[in-house]
Amino acid sequence: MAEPATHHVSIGTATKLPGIDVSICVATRRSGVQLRACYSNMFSLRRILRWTLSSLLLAAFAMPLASQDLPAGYAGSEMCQVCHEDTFLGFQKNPHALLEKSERWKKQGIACESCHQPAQAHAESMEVVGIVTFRAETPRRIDQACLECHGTTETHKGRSFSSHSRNSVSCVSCHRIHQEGGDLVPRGASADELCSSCHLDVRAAFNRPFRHKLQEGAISCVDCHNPHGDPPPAMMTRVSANELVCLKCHADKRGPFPFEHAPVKLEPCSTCHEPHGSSNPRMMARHDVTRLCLECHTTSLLNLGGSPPAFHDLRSARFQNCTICHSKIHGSFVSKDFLR
Amino acid sequence: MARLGRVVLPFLFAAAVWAQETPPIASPQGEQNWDVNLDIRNRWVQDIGGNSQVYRSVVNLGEGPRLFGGDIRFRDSAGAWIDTLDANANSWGGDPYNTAHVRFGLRDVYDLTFNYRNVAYFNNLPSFANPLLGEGLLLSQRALDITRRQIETDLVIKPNATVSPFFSFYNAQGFGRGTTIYRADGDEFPVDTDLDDDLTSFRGGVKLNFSKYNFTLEQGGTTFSDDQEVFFRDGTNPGNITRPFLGRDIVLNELLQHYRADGDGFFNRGVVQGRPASWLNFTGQFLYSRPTINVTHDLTAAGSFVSQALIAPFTGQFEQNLADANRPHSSASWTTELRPHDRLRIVQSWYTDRFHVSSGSSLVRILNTQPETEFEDVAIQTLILNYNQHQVDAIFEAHPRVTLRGGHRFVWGDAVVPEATLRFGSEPTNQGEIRRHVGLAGLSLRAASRLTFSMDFETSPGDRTFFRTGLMDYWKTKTRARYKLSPSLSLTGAFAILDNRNPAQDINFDFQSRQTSVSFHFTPANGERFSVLADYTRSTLRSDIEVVQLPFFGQEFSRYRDNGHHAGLFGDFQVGRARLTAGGSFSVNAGSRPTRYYVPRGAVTVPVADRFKWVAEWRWYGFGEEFFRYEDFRTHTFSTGLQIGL
Repeated sequence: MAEPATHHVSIGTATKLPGIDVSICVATRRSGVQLRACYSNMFSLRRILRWTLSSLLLAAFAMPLASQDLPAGYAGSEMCQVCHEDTFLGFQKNPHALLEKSERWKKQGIACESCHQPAQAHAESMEVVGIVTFRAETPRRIDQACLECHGTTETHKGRSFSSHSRNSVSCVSCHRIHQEGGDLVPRGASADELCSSCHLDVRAAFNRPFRHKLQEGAISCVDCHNPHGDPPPAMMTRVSANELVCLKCHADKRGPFPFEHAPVKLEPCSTCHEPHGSSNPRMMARHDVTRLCLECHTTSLLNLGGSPPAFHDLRSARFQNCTICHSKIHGSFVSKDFLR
Repeated sequence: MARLGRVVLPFLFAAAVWAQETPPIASPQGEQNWDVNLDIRNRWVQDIGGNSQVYRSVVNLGEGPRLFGGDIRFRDSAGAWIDTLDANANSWGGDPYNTAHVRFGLRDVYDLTFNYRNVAYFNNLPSFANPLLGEGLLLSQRALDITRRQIETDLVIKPNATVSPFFSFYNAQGFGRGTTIYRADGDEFPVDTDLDDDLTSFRGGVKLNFSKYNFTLEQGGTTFSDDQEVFFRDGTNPGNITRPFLGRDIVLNELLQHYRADGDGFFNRGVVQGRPASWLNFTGQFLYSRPTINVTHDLTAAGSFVSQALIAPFTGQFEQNLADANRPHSSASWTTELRPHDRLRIVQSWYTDRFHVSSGSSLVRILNTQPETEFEDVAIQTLILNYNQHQVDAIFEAHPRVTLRGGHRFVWGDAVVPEATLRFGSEPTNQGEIRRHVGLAGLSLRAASRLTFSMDFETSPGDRTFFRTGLMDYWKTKTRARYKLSPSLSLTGAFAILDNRNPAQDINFDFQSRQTSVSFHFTPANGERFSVLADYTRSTLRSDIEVVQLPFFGQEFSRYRDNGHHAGLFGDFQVGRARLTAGGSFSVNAGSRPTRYYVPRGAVTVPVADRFKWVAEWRWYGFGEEFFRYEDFRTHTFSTGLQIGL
């Protein structure tokens, strides 16, 4: 089946010192071939007269196009395509193209203008009139435009907990709205690159020797964190309704254990581990496990955790690695002292 | 002629316009395309210099042919069953980290995602306070050689419809072997352990999508099993202590210990989101789960032992435990965003997390003394958490280039933990409280279209915290600035600091961590000729806290220092037909555990045919420990193969 033809004409005038700038764009598309001609920068009276005559003729020929069934003030996506061809075609392969293809959102034929606002004035004048370009908009305006549709989607249920939202990191900081691609945001290694372009300290942590295998592609930032926001800590995602995402892979630490080690349940894993990367084996937060344990296991009046009994002679190497004996430190099935 | 053309062309176009009817949208209809990229290579690893066990614990890459990476992308805008397919695979063919991701669907009909991850975890780091280190024995007594494997499938039916059901299946397995300790009075014995755990989860639900309200209802169930066997068969294991204990050499001749834990549970989730007016958004969530577990544990040991409680020798023991536990767990949140003025957002969020672990355990232990001694014990434990957090932020756009934020967070809650068995010195508490008022502030500047700056600050005088090292009297800030000199050149700087103190008697906690980072990204002409990415981070961490000094119960300071320099540099250069990549990363730490880790690398890619590129890559891995020199390792890896694009 032959591809239907489209034709677009826009005529505009604008005053630009030192003279008058009249622009005319004419385009026709048929069988995949597009011809487009734009004329501008007319400074002389002779040119103005000539192009005014041409413009009037073109306008007369183009009148039938103005009868398209569009809401008042809208130019239609076809009109946008005339000048923004690459953007338009990229958009067709982008998930947002559903706006054009599905009746659900009632945006067929005006997908571009559903974000950029009605563009008839812009199309006629070829000036930035009446539309929102987003390039110069504030994060608040950008987010408002996106959340007009996405504000109530489940992805954004944790938005109010999001440090991105609070710190004016707008949607387009990560999402590329027009570009072709299965996802508006890169996944896997590309997503990690995107995250680490701002979170430089986290990128540095992954240069340490003991770390999750991010560079090897075994894990990605978004496997653990929800960039749109989730309740504390650290916008981490949940599994099985309300368990921290760490337990998704480390399911053997999930419990419930008949003998729980309180900080494993009351505090995030980062109390003892550096989840992004550490210079200490097992991604521990301290170089010496004895010190790590004693920092809590020293009796103080208002805090949980008591002191070890006196036979733990810490001058002896035998007692310097608590987890040699207390091997089930994440919780034990049978021993209240986590000995087995 | 050109002038004539300029005049005539518009008329020709105008005539064509006149002749046609108004057409439908011009989108690529019926277009079908495949995009396949494969990276297949062979890797060689030079003989490991230094400690190969540590190489396996840190890097663990092996030799042989590998699929380094593969991507398949399919689009068929007129597809009847599938219109979108994305698949990628990473590190297949024997590498310790394999992943596969497949996503396909048909627009408005279904969306199916499949994820597979297989991660081998090897850890045999001997320096972790090995009691036998002084005797020259470097083997770890907490070694692991295990695999963690996950499979996940998500199916969404009619993803853009008003009613959209979804289903999900998830399975996580862990299996392998390790070394652990069997502890007897007066000695500890390194023994083997087999590990095998399995978690399976099913869930399903429905999303109800209306124009101003969305509802999500979900229900799921889990099953869990954990089989562990700890064993030592037919031999003489002298353990860590070779001197007699209570006049007797302690020796293990045989051990068989078996854990069998089976659990199940269910969970529910409900989410409501609404935008009833242009100035109001709200979200509410309620989450509930109730996992349970049942445990049987048997232990049989033979050897030469002494019971410290009885001061009596024995030659064997039998032990059996039966235990169960359950954890009802409720979480809820409510957030509201008000926009009373065009430039003002007021964001309120409330979050609560509550659970109650209750468990019971019975123990029978029989010691082969003369005469036989039998112990019975019953233990009941409870662990309760009530955690709450409420936060209000006002975000005001004072100027199109300036956004200010101020707010307050209140954190409160309490916990009841099992009676501490470590109860020497003052009697420890088993009830804790957390209570914290936090002041919040933020600033975002868009000083020019090329320069952005943001700052985030919070501080709290602290009141109560569960643990000695928890956030108490603290302040922290994060600042970040980015200057985009041109579309292809950007500079980013970031600074973060956390300062936390707990001046209470016997604690005197003083903690500060800082990270200062800069990065430089230059990709002229989309990196066609060359691109450079460089980053550097200086990190420091200081922690001082009073801890108990054993065995005399004095007080001493536990001090930890980490002074790190971390950097990465990657350059890509087009030289003739070849693409050269050079760079690498390093991390150098001084302080409590001085460590060096270097990974320089270089690669060359040359097109050899229309869809084929030859690639060769060299990497060097170098690791060093100042205090534990026997952990050092170094090696070269070299890989070469073809990158195929179809």
